[in-house]
Amino acid sequence: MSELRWNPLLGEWVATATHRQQRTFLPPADFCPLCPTKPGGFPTEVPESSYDIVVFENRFPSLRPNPEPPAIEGTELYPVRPSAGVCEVVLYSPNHTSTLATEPVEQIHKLVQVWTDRFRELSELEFVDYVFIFENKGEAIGVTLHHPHGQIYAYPFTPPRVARQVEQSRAHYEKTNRYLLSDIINEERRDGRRIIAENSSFVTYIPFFARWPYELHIAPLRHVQALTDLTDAERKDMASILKVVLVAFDGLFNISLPYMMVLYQRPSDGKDYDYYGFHIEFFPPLRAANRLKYLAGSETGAGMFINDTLAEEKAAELRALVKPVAWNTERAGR
Amino acid sequence: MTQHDTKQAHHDGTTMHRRRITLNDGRYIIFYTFDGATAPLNTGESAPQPEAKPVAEEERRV
Repeated sequence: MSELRWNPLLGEWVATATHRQQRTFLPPADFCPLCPTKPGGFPTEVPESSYDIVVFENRFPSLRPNPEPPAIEGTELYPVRPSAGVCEVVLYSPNHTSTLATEPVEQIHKLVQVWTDRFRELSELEFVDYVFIFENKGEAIGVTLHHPHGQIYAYPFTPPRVARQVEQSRAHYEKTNRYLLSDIINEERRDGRRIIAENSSFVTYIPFFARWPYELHIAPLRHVQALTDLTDAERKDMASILKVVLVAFDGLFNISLPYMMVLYQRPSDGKDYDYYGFHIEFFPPLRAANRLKYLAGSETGAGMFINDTLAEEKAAELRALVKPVAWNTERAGR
Repeated sequence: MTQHDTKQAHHDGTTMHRRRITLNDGRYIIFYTFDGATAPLNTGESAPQPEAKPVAEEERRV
């Protein structure tokens, strides 16, 4: 049973997806449904093993291309609509025990290209207004399958947090004739204390306004709206800086750091969003080793985050963990 | 039913190959490979029996 229900208090949609209660929950490694099917073994989601990256439609989707009508009748106050959209799973590797951080930069580069392809294709669907690429990593985030993977949700509307960013960017542009994300990047680079690393095309930093202790942003130096706007060289630089960030994260507490990673791109509803800037945000839930930052009363109830740390200090911690990225030139050049 | 639709484009100095299969429950799965270079986990072993058998296949290189 799946439908979209309108929340008139907040002016936003909520998806019900009761069938997701049945999804596989933390199976043993020998029974991972995301590993390639082994000969004679139990059937998994992936019938072949010869691939670099695999994308498939989620077996337990919140949104479907051809959704059933809502199971409940809406009212004027409580409109409902079908859960139209697409939910995809992106497998980063056939290797069950790897993570994006441990994959070579060449593999991350391939992932960037796959993300670009998925954004391009899903954006063209008539019922899709926003393509949201993300990864939930680690049990601390609620991950139910450990095999390295991310997800893509193609929504039939622009989700509220994105819409707020878009509106802030539009208002800033109207007021200053400048791009908001470019101004943020310039401010961070001018100050310098919160910068983690930079290459020819991208910069990464803990923003001045970080809500999480290790909230980290990656932004292109050139103002673009989506992955499809990047040049070939910029996509390689994006892979490089992702590798830098992921390795630094894992070095923080010498664990495979849990995080949420989200890619913010322009909406795909056909309108003009020149003022909006593509970027990536990471939200690791840890505030120290084995200590979670909980979204409690203020964060959940009021939407007001309280960060117990200083972005400048946390950025220095991560900056000390930056290591150079080595490309295998033979593989990279193929 | 099997369908093949192949096209090719170059990104970032590599070639991305895309093979799309429609499973019998209606979902699609897309296998991405780059320049045909992959690292099979089950080399030399017989073909697996998928949970959802492919009913349509489309191969593209993008």
